[in-house]
Amino acid sequence: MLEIKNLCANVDGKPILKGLNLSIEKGEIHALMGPNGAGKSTLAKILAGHPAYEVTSGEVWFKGQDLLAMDPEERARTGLFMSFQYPLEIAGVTNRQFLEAAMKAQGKEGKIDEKMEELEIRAEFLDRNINEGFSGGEKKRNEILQMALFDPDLAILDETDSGLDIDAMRIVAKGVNAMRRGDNALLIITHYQRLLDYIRPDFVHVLADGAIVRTGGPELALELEEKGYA
Amino acid sequence: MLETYWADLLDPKDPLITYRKKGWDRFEAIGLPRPKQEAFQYLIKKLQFPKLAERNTLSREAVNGLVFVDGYFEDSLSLVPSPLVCLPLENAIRSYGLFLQNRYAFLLGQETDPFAALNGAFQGRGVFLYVPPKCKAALHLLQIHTCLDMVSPRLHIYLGRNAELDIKQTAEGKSGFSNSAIDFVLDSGAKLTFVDEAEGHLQAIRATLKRDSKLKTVLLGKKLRHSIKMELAEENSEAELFGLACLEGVEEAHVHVLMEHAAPHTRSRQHFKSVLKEKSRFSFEGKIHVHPIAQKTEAYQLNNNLVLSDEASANAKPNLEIFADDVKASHGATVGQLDPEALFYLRSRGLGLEQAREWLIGGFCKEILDHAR
Repeated sequence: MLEIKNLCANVDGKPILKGLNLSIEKGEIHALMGPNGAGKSTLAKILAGHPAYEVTSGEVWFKGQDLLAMDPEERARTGLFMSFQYPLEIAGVTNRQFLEAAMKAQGKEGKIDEKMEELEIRAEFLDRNINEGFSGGEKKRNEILQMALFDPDLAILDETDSGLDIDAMRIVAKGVNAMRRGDNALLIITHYQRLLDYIRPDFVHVLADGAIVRTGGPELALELEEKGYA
Repeated sequence: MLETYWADLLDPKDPLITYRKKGWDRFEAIGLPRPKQEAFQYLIKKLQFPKLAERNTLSREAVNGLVFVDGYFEDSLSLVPSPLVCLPLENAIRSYGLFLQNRYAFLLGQETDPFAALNGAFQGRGVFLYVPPKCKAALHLLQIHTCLDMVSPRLHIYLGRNAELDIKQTAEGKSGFSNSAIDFVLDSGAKLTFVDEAEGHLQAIRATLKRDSKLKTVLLGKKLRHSIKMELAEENSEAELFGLACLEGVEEAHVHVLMEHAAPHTRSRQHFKSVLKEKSRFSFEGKIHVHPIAQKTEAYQLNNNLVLSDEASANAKPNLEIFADDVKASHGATVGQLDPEALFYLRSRGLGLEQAREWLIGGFCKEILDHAR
C-alpha cells in the first residue's frame, strides 16, 4: 500500500529526513516512535503534501501511484488521511459544511450523526466553526471523526495522543479500532507507548536522525518506554 | 463644469432654492479635494462628473419602502405604512420646516466633505421620513438607475422616541455617478439598522444619536468612497458600523469615519474588512473623537484586510483624539494573506485549491455579512 524509498527532505533548508525507508501493507498497523526533532511529524506532513516541506530525493508509492506528484486534495481522494497534531481553527466555515464538502469531494457517503455518537461528540458541534473554541482533546476527536467518515485506505495519526486524557484516548482508540478492515492500513506516530496499549501495532519503528534505525514488534514499544531512545 | 451644472439648476421657483444655495456655498468654501489632501490622500481615481440626471417618471409597481429614480424620490412608487410620515423634501420643508432647517444648518455648519455639501446643492428630489414614537417598521430603500448621469439622492430620516426602523438599500440598474447623502436622527430610545447593498460612488452618512438610542450600519455595496460622521450626542447611545469591500481589477474603496463621543457612557464600534484581488485598493481612516465630557466611553475600531495579490494595497489609518480620562478605546489593523496552513488543512481533506481559497475568503467575510442578518 505504501512504499517509501530513500526519502530525503528539508525544512527551511535544513535536512530532516535522510534516507527514510518504510513499507506498509494492507491490513497492517505500524507505529513510528522516536525522539523529538527526529522527523516523525515531517514525514507525516510530507505524506499529506504540505507545501512548506521540500523533498530533495527519494520516492513514495501509494497504491502503486507516485504520491509525491499528487496535490494534497488528490492524495485525500486517493484514500490517504492524516490526522493533524495541531488541527487548525477555521473561522466562518462550520464543521457541518466542512464534513459534507470533504465527503463529497472524496466520493464518500455516511451518517455524520452516527459517527459523532460513537465518538461521544455532541450535536451542537456541527454548527460551530471548524475547531473553534475546541480543547485539544476535542480537536483530536474531530480528526478521528473525519477519519471515520472518510474511511481512508491509509490513515496517518500524527501524535494523536498528545494532549489527550485517558478517557479521550479510549474513545479515540475505540474509533480507530472500529475502522479496521482487512484492506486498510494505519501509521501511528507517537512519542508515548500509552496509545499503543489501546491500538496494538503489528510493527514498531524507531525514527532517529532522519531515518528508521530499528524495527520490531509491539514489544519494542515497551522496551523503548523502559530504556529510552538512546 | 460643476459651476455650469449649478447655474443651469438655479430656479427661483424651486422650493428648495435656499437649501441648494447653502449647499453650494458650503461646497465652494470647502472646495474639491486637492492632490494629497489628507482626507482624500488614498483616492487615486480621477472623478468625472457627468451631467445632472433629469427626472424620469417610470410606471411600474410600487414597492414597500422608498423608491428613488435617478436620485428623484418618487412617492407614487413608494408605499410607506402609516403612521409613518413620508414626504418629498420640497413638501417637508413646509410641514417640518423648523426641524429640517435646523438640521440642515447644523450639518452644513460642520461639513468638511465637499461631496456631502454638493449633494445639498444638486439633490434630485429628496425625502423626509418620520417614524413616530414607539412605531416599528422595516422598509426597502430602492435606488433605480435608468441613465448614467449624476444622481444625488438625499434622505433625512427622523426616528421618534423608542421608534424602530430597519432599512435596506439596494440598487437596480447601473449607476454612472452617484453622490448620495443620508441623514439619521434618533430620538431617545430609538433603534435603527441600515444595511446597504447598493453599488454606487460617493455616499455620506450623517447621524445624531440621542439618549439610549442605537444605530447599526452594515455597508456591503461597493462604493468608491464613504464619508461617515456619527455623533453620540447623549448618554448611553451606541453606534455600530460594519463594512465589507470585495474588490478586484482596478477598483478602489475608501472609508472615512468620524465617530464623535460627545456624552458620557457612549459606545461605538467600527469594523471594516476588505478582500483585495488584482490591483484593487482600499483605505480606511477611522477617527474617534472623545470629548472631555464623554467619560466611560467605549470606542473600538478594527480594520482587517485580506490581500490576495502583490499589486493590491490596503491602507489603514486610525486616528484617536481622546480628551476624557476614563475611557476604553482601541484600534487595530491587519493586512494579511490567506493562511497557507489553513489552505493545506482544507486541501488535505480533498477540497481543491480554488474551493479552499473561496472558503477561507468566505470565512473571512462572514463575520461582517452576519451583522446584516
